[in-house]
Amino acid sequence: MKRLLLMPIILLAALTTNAQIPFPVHIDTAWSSTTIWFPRSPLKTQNIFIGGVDSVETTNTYGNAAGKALSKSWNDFIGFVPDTTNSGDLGWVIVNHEMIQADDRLGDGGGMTSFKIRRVNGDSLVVVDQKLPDGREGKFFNVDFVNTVGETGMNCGGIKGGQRIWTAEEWFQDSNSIIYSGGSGFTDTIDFKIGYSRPAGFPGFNGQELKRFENLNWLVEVDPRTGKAIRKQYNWGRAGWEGGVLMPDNKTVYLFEDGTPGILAKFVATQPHDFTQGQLYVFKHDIPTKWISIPNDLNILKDLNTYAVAQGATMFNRLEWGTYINGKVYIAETGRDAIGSSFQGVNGVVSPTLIAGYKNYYKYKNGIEYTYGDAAAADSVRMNKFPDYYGRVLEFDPATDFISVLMHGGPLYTASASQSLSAYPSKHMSNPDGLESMTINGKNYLLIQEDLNGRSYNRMPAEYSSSSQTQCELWLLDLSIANPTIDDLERLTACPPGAEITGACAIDEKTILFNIQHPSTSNTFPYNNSMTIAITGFDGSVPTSTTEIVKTIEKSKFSVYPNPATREFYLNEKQDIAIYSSTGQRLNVYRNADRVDVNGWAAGMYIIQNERGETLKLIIQ
Amino acid sequence: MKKYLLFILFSIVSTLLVSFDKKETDYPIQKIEAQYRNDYVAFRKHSEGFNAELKESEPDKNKLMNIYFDMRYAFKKIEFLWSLLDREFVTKYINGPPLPKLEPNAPNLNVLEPQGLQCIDEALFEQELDVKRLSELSNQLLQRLSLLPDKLGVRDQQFFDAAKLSIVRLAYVSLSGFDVPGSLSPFVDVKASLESLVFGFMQYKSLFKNDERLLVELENINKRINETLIFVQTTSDFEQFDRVRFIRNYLNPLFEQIVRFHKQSGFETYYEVTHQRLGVNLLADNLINDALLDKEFFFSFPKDVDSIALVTLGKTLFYDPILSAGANLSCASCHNPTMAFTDGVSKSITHNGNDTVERNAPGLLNAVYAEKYFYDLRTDNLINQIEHVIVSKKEMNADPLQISQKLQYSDEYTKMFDAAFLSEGISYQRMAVALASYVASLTDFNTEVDAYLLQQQDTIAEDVYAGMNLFYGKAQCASCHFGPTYAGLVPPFYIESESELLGVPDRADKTNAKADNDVGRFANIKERAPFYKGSFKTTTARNTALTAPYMHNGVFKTLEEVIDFYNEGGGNGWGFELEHQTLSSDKLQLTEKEKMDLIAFLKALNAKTNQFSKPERLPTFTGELAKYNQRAF
Repeated sequence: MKRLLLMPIILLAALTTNAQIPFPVHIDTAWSSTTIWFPRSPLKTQNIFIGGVDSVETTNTYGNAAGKALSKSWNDFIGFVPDTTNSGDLGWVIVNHEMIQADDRLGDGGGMTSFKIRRVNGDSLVVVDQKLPDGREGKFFNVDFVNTVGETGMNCGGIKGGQRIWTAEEWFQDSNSIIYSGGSGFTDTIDFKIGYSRPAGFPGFNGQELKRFENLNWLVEVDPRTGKAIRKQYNWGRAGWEGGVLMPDNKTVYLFEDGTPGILAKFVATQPHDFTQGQLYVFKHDIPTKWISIPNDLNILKDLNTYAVAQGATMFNRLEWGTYINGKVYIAETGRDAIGSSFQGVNGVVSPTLIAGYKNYYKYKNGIEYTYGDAAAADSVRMNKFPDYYGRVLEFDPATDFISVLMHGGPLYTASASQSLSAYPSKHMSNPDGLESMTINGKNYLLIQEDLNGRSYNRMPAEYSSSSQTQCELWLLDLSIANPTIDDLERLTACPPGAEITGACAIDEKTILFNIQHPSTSNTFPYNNSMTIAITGFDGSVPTSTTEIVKTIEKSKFSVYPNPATREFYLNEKQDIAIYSSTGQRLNVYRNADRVDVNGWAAGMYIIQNERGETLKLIIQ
Repeated sequence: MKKYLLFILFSIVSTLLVSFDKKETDYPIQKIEAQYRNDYVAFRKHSEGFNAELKESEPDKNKLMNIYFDMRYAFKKIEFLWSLLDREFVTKYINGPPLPKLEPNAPNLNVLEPQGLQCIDEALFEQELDVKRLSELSNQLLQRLSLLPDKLGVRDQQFFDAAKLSIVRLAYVSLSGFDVPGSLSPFVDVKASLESLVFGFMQYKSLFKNDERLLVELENINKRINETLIFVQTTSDFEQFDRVRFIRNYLNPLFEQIVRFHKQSGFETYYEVTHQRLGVNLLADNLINDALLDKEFFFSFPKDVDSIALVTLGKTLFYDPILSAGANLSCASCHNPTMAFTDGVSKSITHNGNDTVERNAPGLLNAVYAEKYFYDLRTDNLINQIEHVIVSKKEMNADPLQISQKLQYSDEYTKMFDAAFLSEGISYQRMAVALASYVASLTDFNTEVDAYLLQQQDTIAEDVYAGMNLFYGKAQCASCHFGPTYAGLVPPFYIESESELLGVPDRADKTNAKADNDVGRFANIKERAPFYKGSFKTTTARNTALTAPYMHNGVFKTLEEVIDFYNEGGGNGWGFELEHQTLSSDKLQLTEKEKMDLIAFLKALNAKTNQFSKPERLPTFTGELAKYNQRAF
């Protein structure tokens, strides 16, 4: 009866575009004719390591005997060292814990967990049993910082390359009382004497003293094979380091600081593979040599940012992770809603990437190109006129020391119901943070991971932006595309609500590992915990299949095109649709949509109805 | 009076503009969007006018105030929709509280100074006109107001949900004077908000012209809003306004009508558009009790569990001292159901009996409805909250792995875990989930006050009625203790828990007291800002007559002492000189009668606690743990 009443309205609606009329709450399921099958994803997902749930083997710590304890959580960076022996295992994995928590068994502050993986039955990963040189036996191992180099805190990013791994701590500590945190952070706050308080010292710095908090925020080399830290890299400087890149020459390391201003540094070792000797530099793009040499003096090194900015270093707005591929270094500059006054009254120079970012923003805000020149744009950035809501991905050429913007974040529109933007929310990028690269079937890709700084300005679709939860995504970008924009991004997989997706680490052409961090606790177990997940099957499923599917779409007829790899289906054109259960109960309504994400839908039959009342059956396998 | 005439004139002009726009179609939402766009343009125009007046050599205070009211009026017409489309933007830059905040997701501690209309309101109504400060605020506001894109694409569902949130905002935010800290003139805001809503709803008459039932609903909404507008004009005196009647007879019924209309219209709901939850339940049938809150946002059962068996297991664990290292302390030791899950002492005794814990045991009734837990807001979910207590050296002092090993010595527990989780296995994680499930089940909103506001009972004692009006008005309680939880869970989205710096003394003796030295929220490693030093979670005003003593340190023994403390302006009123006190330092000037009325109201907010009981017995253990079988609980 209700259907009949609605018919005149439906007819009227067909005459105008973007009509908004109610879809019936129930439909008769017998009406739908054409059936479309949505195949299983060719990508296989596995849960590998659940932070705070899986237990780890500990070493003798603070007088407590070695044993078992629940691991720390807040999984972040993932390092991987391939096993080049003939063991049949893929290699060792090591995972950062971005937290600060006193713990008598695991050690205070942050930490890491290591384990070893093997591929069985074609594409399944298993964590193998190991016996470490120190006698510990089991699957997961707490990395020992306490008895080696001294504790770390908020282990976020890191560096991986070849057989080497370093862990980084972005949250810059500036007092003992803060790290003590009422006894819940670091219980030991007496001064730290390098090479004395803990066995692993550093050539040239042994015997020098640091306040306890000053022994944090150095990059720390770790060995996933032994479950131990090796040394704190005092000669690379102490700063809010988030990530870095080890170059194939095994001499050069680039370092990225998460701060405003954040600096870009370079260390060149005297001999390949030996990073205890060499020269540290900080980037200054406006001088011919491009780099400022930094004296190897602990007093300067322990607050590198202050020294570098005073010397006129190039100032970025929160550098995050980086990756090296095909001769280039790619770096995420995540941005910040307000640069504030931190660029004012200092000697540093505004990065060309922020100048480019400001010009791009200006064009959107005012509808016209920016024509006042770079110096004026730099002044505007300095004077806090650039709300850097979205951030960008940078490309750095080690051959020429030239840095530029590979891709601006966006869409850069102000408060609106997102449907007005062409391909939003499928195509957008906000606050890039984790960055990894991989080669699939001879093509190079960037893996870009968001970590939202906020929800305003369309960083979240309007239907989500009221919530306190965030939806961070993992994007794939084909590096063969010249001058890429957000429209060239392919969304790889959605992670559970509220989670930051981070640590993406390509094991080989087949598998990536990544972490979900601080997801909403109302998610189903184990998706309510920080955890390490593996996705396998990239070699068999080319991620660019989307373009192929889009080419086959017949625009004129109401139809649906599944993309099993991205877990989305495409519609023949932008339109309003409603999704019904097999019993005819309305479940979802999408307005002005040309694609729908089915990630999380239970297998089974659904009915899709458009605004003209036409229906299709969709079967999710 | 003249101002009202101007408003009406402005409304007519903007309506005319809309009707002569040839591009309009018959769809209601497009008319609503066009009106929104016009009001946004007006807001920008008034904001520019305000900025221009401040640039005059001698800005005129009266003129500034008039432009300010116009600006505010235009904002209040679009606030309902704007704050749904981009909530965070509006809170950060347009109409957020005049208090500093920390930048979220930043690599270091970064204080964001407040900006927007509330700061302007506060500055403009100071004695001396601070042109420099106002100019700074006005420039910041203008910088954020960019052009709107050509098409917003607002949807019907968004209009209906924005309308519901607008009513919640009027009831629990605007009327308390929360967002007009200087002018204390919320009544104009009510008028502007309701005018926008009535305009929007009336557009749906044409779409539903063939549906008699919906037309009647629309007419009733129209009638209710008009009656509400008339009632608002009964007084413009902040203290005299009858807020109880306003909520009970006007706003709550109007809220119900809007939800019903949305459902009957057939337009999709929020829950058919996104899987992201909000704290507010956008399909609630009232705004008085917990129907207004979406419990799943705060805590939801894992999939594939038997939820009844899980709560039963959680309840058993809650009373079982086996969880503590010495098997001598259970959750119930400090959270006694007969005292709304508190223990009646200032600070509870530690597990070894020779010390006290850091703070007063908080009540657990309705505790689930919070963004963060503990007085210092250090955990963001109930599971983590429970884990903190279990491993705390002064409380349970237990080792997570050992607890799960101990529980395996009990066949009864093994069976209960298996039944609750529908699969085998005892783990620490499962234990914490079970305890959280039980704590989340401890809710009760069936008080006399709720029954009266829901019109389930016709009368309520005079002193309770007077106390309720004081709570919402003159005594300013409701500007921090928001309905329906009467805690710091902020309307209308209910996704954020606030903390306040009250300047709580270290002892109840005013002459010798100093500010308590507990740093509160400041102890959190990412919240080391001076304005969090001594800042504590705003706990609920429900059940307070059962939960003495009061405050984070249990310093006050009676509600009378608490009210006296607020009446004198908190810590600053006691002479502490706290720069960052968030409670107004002004005296409330409550009479003795008024204080007694407030207490009568608080007592009427008590739940009946006899519904919460202990389990009859605790599970038995075998092997080496059989020695615990006689444990007391």
